[in-house]
Amino acid sequence: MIQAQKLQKRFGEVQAVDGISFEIAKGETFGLLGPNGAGKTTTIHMLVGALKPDAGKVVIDGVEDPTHANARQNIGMAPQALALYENLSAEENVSFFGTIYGLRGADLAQRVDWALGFTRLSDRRKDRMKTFSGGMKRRLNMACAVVHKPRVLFLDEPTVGVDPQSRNAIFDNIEELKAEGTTILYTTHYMEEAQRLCDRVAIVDKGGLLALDTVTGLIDAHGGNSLVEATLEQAPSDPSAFPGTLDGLSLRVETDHPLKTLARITDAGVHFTSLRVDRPDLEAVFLNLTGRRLRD
Amino acid sequence: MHRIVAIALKDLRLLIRNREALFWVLAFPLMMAVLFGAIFSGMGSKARKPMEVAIVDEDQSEASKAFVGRLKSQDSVKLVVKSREGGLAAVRTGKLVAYVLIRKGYGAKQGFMAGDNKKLEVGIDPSRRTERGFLQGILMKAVFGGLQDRMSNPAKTRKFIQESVSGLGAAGARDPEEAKLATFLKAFDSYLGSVDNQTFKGQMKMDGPKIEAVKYAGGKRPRTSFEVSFPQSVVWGLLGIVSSFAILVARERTVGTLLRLRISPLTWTHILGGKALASFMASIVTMALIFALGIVGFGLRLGNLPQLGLAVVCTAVCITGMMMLIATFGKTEQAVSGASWAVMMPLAMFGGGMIPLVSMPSWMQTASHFSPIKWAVYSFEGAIWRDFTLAEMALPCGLLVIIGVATFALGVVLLSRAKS
Ligand SMILES: Nc1ncnc2c1ncn2[C@@H]1O[C@H](COP(=O)(O)OP(=O)(O)OP(=O)(O)O)[C@@H](O)[C@H]1O
Ligand SMILES: [Mg+2]
Repeated sequence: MIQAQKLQKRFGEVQAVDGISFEIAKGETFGLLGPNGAGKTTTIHMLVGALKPDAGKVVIDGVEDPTHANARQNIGMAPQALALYENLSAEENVSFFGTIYGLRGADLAQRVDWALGFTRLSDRRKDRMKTFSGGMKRRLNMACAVVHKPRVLFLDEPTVGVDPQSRNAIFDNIEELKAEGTTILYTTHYMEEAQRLCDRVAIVDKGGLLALDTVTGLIDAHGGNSLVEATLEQAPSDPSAFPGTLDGLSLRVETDHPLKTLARITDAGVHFTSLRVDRPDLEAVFLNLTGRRLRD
Repeated sequence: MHRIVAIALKDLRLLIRNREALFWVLAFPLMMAVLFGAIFSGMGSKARKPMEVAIVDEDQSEASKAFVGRLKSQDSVKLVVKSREGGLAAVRTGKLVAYVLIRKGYGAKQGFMAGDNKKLEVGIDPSRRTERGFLQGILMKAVFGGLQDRMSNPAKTRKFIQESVSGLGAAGARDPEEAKLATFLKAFDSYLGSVDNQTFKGQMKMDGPKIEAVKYAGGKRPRTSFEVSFPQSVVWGLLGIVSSFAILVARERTVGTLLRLRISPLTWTHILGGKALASFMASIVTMALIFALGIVGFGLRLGNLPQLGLAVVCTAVCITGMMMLIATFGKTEQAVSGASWAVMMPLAMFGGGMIPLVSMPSWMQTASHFSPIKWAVYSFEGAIWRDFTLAEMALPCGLLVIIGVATFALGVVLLSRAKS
């Protein structure tokens, strides 16, 4: 559905995107995960045809030029910066963007109702956008992107500055769209979001694509070992037989098979007062790939 | 077309909801029109108001009081009684136009010679040339008015003459000049005694030229100051439109809605066409509202509605083009707003927005040819009071359309170049 082929974009001294390639299947939810300045937004802008790549190619739904009217009709985007008219009401905003995608009359009214209901803004539809809270503005930003029922949806950090409740509402929206078969490209620097929503995740940093796989695939390949941390009830009779490092009663073990490690400890007849097992996550993947944390 | 209209309606809605913009587009020009109109019409009525003059009567004689009475009876002057110092100070500080001082001894002489004009002193600032001439006339009238009073009644006149003769001193002690005057007065007295009262009355009456009131009958001049101030002030509303819409274009860019428009199926033609339509409509509505108020509330002549319509449409074309060009003068709202006022202010000031075209010095009138605003004002005036024929309208209207189309084209080229 979406193909990015060796995309390049430079702004003056900054190589914002440096040869990124990927392919997104129809109906797939694809995550672009990376820290600030990784080149996520620049990549999206090239995919939607707002920026001309210095090199490389974009194919959307078989159309090689994303600026072609046929491609555009099928694209929706919720920009990272809230792109709304603050002196228009929620309804007027959604309706305006519906109109420019060619919706008219009853069709338009019905789609506007749907988009506002979908983002839970129906009761505030007559209020000006500037009176909205941050989370409501984000939801409206999304409503304007989906009013024309795009087949391909680009969501650029749709949860920035949003409280957990609004965030969950947005997640529900995305899952609903996904269930309807919409192809979604989702950028974020929150790895939990990518983990929860995305079928596949591309990890990007400094304009380059570091890894691309399913979440479990990425963790298996780059996540490293799980971490087992335990506090023991009594000191073991033979500490040297224990895996990991023992400091008084607290034990710390790095292992790629945490369950086997636990079995070995209990086999030695030792009991725990507390136990914690940390499976590696995308954060660990990023750390292992770059030596830096995703967010500092 | 539907999409162009959608963009235009959206922009108009945003304009209407922006109080600040509305103020500059409608309220401010209306205020200017009314204010300028009132100031200039006030100036006219000020000249019609009586001239305020201090009167200092140090003589306090019958003759001096009669003189003051004659001055007072003229409605073109208003007297304020003052002391000598008070009168001088009032003129020095500009509170009063002049003072008239009647020194002691003015009424000392009796009879025919009463009222010694050498004892009259008038103080006026030399820069007040018009008022000086005016005051001179008023004083002359008061001085000769006294003479006329005395002469219009032969019996009274004879009494004055006799008093004057006795005032000259004893017959034996007269110097040669006094002797000559006495002889003349005696001859005059006997002449007056011999004529018929009725004939005399009519002949001695001193009348100035008769002034007829002639009502203004129109023609190629503004009838009221509002006919000048309204076309002049509409300019400021148009400035407000240029700046508001140029800012709207910049805001689409900074807020990111332009990005949304550009990744939609809209073409560049839709986007710019919508903006142009909105500013065109806003210009027309603004001009229509302001002129309508001028016609209904301030007596602007509606001599030639089709030509006023033509002027308004051509001006709207010009304003739309200039808005497009100015929208390219910066990437942020602040930059565009600054640029629009920096460009439009001088154009408006030299184009008749500040000083009306009719009152410009000639060098400024020449400079004004380079301001599109001038042609707008000129075309309004052409339709309102200059009585332009359609052929005469062609020059300003043609220029407006040419400037509008040229700046629009340039603006579109520059905007499209900046889009990626
Ligand atoms: N219009 C521009 N002009 C100059 N530099 C730009 C421009 N847009 C992006 N950049 C630079 O390109 C790099 C990538 O920016 P981009 O916005 O794509 O990052 P991002 O991954 O979306 O970051 P964030 O998570 O902060 O949104 C940054 O270094 C940024 O400064
Ligand atoms: Mg970004």
